[in-house]
Order: sequence, then structure tokens, then C-alpha cells
Amino acid sequence: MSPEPLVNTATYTTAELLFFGAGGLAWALAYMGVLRQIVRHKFVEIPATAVAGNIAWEFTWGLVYRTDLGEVFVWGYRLWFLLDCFIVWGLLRYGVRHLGTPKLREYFRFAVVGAILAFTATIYLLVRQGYDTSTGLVSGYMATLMMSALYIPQFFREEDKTPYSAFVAWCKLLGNGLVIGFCVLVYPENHFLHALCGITLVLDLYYVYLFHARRAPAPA
Amino acid sequence: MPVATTDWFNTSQYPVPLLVLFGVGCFGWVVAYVAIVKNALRNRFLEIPAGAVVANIAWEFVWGFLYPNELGRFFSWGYRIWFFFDLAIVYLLFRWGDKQTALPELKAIFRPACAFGIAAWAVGIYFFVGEGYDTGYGAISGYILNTMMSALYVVIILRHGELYELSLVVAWSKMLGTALLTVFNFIVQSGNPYLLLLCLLTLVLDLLYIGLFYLIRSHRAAGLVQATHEAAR
Repeated sequence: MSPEPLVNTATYTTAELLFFGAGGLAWALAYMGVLRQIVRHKFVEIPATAVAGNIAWEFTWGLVYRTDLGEVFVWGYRLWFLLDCFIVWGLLRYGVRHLGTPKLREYFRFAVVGAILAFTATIYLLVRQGYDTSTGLVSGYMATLMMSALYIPQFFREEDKTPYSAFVAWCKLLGNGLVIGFCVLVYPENHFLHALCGITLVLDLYYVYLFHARRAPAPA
Repeated sequence: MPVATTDWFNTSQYPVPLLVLFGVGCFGWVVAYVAIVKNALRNRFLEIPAGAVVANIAWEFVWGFLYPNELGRFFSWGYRIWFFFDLAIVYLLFRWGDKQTALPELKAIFRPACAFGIAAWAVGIYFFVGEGYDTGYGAISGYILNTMMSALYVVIILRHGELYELSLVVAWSKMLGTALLTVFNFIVQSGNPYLLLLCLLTLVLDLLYIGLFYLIRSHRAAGLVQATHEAAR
């Protein structure tokens, strides 16, 4: 058996791989931005449910299934997973302080662990059932759409917007935008995926607008 | 893509007892919808989570009007009846739904956000089915929504359960309705573990909701919390 290529140029064009690679890099930078805010402000800006969905996706696609984009991307998914492990740690440590539902505090850690397990099992079976692409982007954009939607109420919830990062907001938008470019090029027939991408993009753009509108200094 | 059938009941593919099981499960949801409306009028608070309402109406529209139902035309009409019941719930969502959030900034955009949510879900479900991901009667898209709804219901009862007296009829009818549909899926879709997992997750969350319901009710009976129908007037 021939070894897996570093990048799969037999199935994907260079432009497609660059779209995905640049998008993936933007997401890795977004995760680093989130981690910096955790250290600085003891605050996890990604909504708890989205963190659970993300880590489950990265575990499933990084360690259980294998993307066909090539070895570089396999390790890229694993890098996301590793970065996200620290985000989950931050969530379990500090997330409870920022809950909108005080009653949920008693069950918070249990609920996070339960959600990670439930998402992992669901994504694992979704892929096994043949509903995903060979790059994991159907399940990936289901999780991303949920995150983009939840970011908005989470942003409203915090009176002090300081812990939210402009860097993360833009990296998230850019990362999603570039991977959406990949989706449009590689899966022109998959309109469900396009719908997920389009809705995610609208939500990300709205979040960036909100972010700058709410954090702009008040006029003197 | 689901296959159109001209029969009222597709007995060639589904035995009568199974169709009855499915019908009774659907009826459980009609009972839940009526109780939701009744309780909303009493409390002036809509207990079904906003995120679930927008997804439900979208699902009912897509499956009631845009795609045929493999189980037969009778069930397409059943989905349409759900849709018309749900219109009342959507009206209440636009009227009182913003009480589900305490965030003034979210209240300010609540109605446009709901309209966007309905449109986004409708587009998403339409293409999900079109892409061939669903069963012939909408079980997979339906259970994706149901799992989300059951999870959000837990949040709603933890957030508002002490302030508003939520409906016991809703708690039981949604659990039983979904459970019967779950049994149907276990028989008909036994080769689809993804769907079956969604069914089980929904059942666990529905049972958790009922447990929390009784816990809060016992606290209320002990005088530890006090619900008021006037809470948000």
C-alpha cells in the first residue's frame, strides 16, 4: 500500500487545498485567541454547547475517522483537537461563572461532559451512516452553525464585553469564509451544505457587526 | 428524495398496527400543542423554547407542503394540521416569546431573529431532505429538532420553572408522543443507528425534564418557590 500523500492533489486542486488550509489555519489562530482570553480574563468566549460540539467533532474526525485531504490535514484536525482540549479545560474551570441560568450551575460540569459524549456518539454515527463528506464538513458545519448562532446571545449576556476578542471574531469569520470557498468548489451539488455555509456566514457577519457596534467607544 | 404515494395509508409498505402506532404518537404531539397554547394564554408566557418553535414550524411547512409523505396522504394532512396548530404557537412566540430571555439586547432583536430562524430552518430542512439525508417521513430532520427541543426544554424549566407553572400535560404528552414515534423508528429504521441514537437522546432528555418538573413542583408544594400567573404582567 502506498503511503498517504502529505496533501491529496490527486482528488483536490491546489486552489481547493489552499482554501481549506488557510481556513483551517485561521481557525487554529481563533482557538489560540480564545485561549489567550482564557488566560487573561478567565473567560471562555465560545458558548459552552458549541465547545462540546467542537471537541466532539475534532475527536471524531481527528482520531476516529480520517479526512482524505492528506496527512498534513489529518494532523491539522488533531492540532485543532489539542487546542480545543485546553478550551474545554478552561470551560470546565471558569465556564460556570458566566452562565445565564443560575440553576444550571449545579449541573454545569456534568452537563458539559454529557453533551460532549452525546455529540461524539451522534457525529460518529452520522458519519458511519454515510451522511458526511470525506472531509467531515456536513457535521462540521452543523456544529459551526450552532456555534455562530449561540455566539450572539452569549455576547449579549456579558455586560462587560472586554473579554471578547476582535481577533477571534475576525479569524472565525475568515476561517469559515475560506472553508466555505472550499465547499462551494468541491461540493457544487451539495445544496444542504451550501445552506449550512450561507446561514453560518450571515451569522458570523452579524456577530462581527455587533462586536464592533457594541465595543465602539461612546461619542464624547 | 421521498417517494410520492397516492394512497391515504401506505399499507403496502407499512402494516396497519405500525401506522396506528405512528398516528397515536403524532396525536400525542397535538395534545402537547393544545396544552402549550392553553398554558401560554394562562401564564402569558410561552413555555416551548423559541429555538424549537422556529424549527418546528419550518419542519412542518417543509414536510407538510413541499415533500410527499411515504406513509400516505393521511399523514401529510396530519403534518399540515400540526403546522396550523403551530401557527398559533408562532403567534404567541411573537407576542410573548421574548419573556424567555432577560437580555434587553436580545429582546430588541427577538422578532427579526425568530423570522430569520424560521427562514433558515426551512431552507436547511428543505435541502437536507432534497439531498437524500432524511427518511421518507422526515424522521431524521424531525429528531434533530426534537433532540434540540428536548435539551432546550430542560434549560427553560431550570430558568423559568420556578417563576411560571409549566404544563404537566405538555411534559407527559411530548414525552409519550415522542416515545411512540421512537418505538416506530426502532421497528422501521432499525438499520439507522444515527436516527436511533437521536431517539434515545430525546427520550433521556424528556425523562429528565419530567423529573425536574416534579422536583420543582415538590419545592413549590413545600413553599420553597412560588409560581405566579401574573409573573410577567
